[in-house]
Amino acid sequence: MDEKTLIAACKQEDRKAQQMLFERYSPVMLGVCRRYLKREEDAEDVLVEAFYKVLTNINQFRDMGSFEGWIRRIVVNEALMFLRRTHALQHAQELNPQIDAGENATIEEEISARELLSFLEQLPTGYRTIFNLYILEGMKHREIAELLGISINTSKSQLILAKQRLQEILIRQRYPLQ
Amino acid sequence: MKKRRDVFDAFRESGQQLKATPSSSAWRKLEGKLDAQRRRRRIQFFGITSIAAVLAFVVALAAILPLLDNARQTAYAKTENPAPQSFETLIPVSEADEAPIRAVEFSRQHERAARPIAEGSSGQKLVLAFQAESGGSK
Repeated sequence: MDEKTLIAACKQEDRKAQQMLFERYSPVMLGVCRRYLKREEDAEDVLVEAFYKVLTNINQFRDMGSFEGWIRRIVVNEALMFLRRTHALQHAQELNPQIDAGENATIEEEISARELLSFLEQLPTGYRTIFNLYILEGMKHREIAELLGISINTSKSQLILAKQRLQEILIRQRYPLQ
Repeated sequence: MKKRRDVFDAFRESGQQLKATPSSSAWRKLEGKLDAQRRRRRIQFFGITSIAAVLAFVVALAAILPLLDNARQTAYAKTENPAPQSFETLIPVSEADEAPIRAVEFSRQHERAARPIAEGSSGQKLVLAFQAESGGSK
């Protein structure tokens, strides 16, 4: 079943189509959830809640953009809401905005998805969230600041610190950085 | 020889590949939530429909009751207090003309409960009352 037919069937609340949609997109979206949330159980709860919103609001989806992108936005928002609910984002502090970001290190090796996840799990929630939103979702600091209700400088400083921490982790893991 | 690249570009690429299979209970949880939502929507629909039906009934009743009352009053007026169908002019009779009046009176009496006529003995003759008064002496 192609994507348009699947969406049309889900708009008719066809249960088999809903299950098919869940099975098609849930692995990628659970990967997204896992990047934001350390605990697997929390990630799966957020996934279920996000897909519930996807399926009950699917009539709002217009064929203007990517359907997967639309689902991803809902999943990311749901993960952020979960973090806010559990107060995990309250301790994100603004550090000195003049902090030197320095040059990013370069690497020859591939970083596997599994390794990426284990590196992200070592970051504090605030660093990890902003790193995810900026580096992996491609959002701007202004957008991140609005989304999380923080200042642009906080977003910038959290990202710099996240990058520094990740480079330290990579060195500890004996990745040949330059 | 491998090409060197920004470490965070490497992160971005591997981030796109990150996938995980949800547990088998994930779909069951989602299906349960969808079923509950469908039930809630049905209950809301029937609730709204029944409220609308009750409101429509009340409005219809308010509109029909005055009409029913009018019809009832009209029916009452027709049966209990009928309008005269025709008029008859009563012409007063002179006192001298007693005979018709008496006849009317007789017929009225006759219409009442019939009383047995005292016929008297076989030698007596049955006459009208006014004849008896006028000619009885004969």
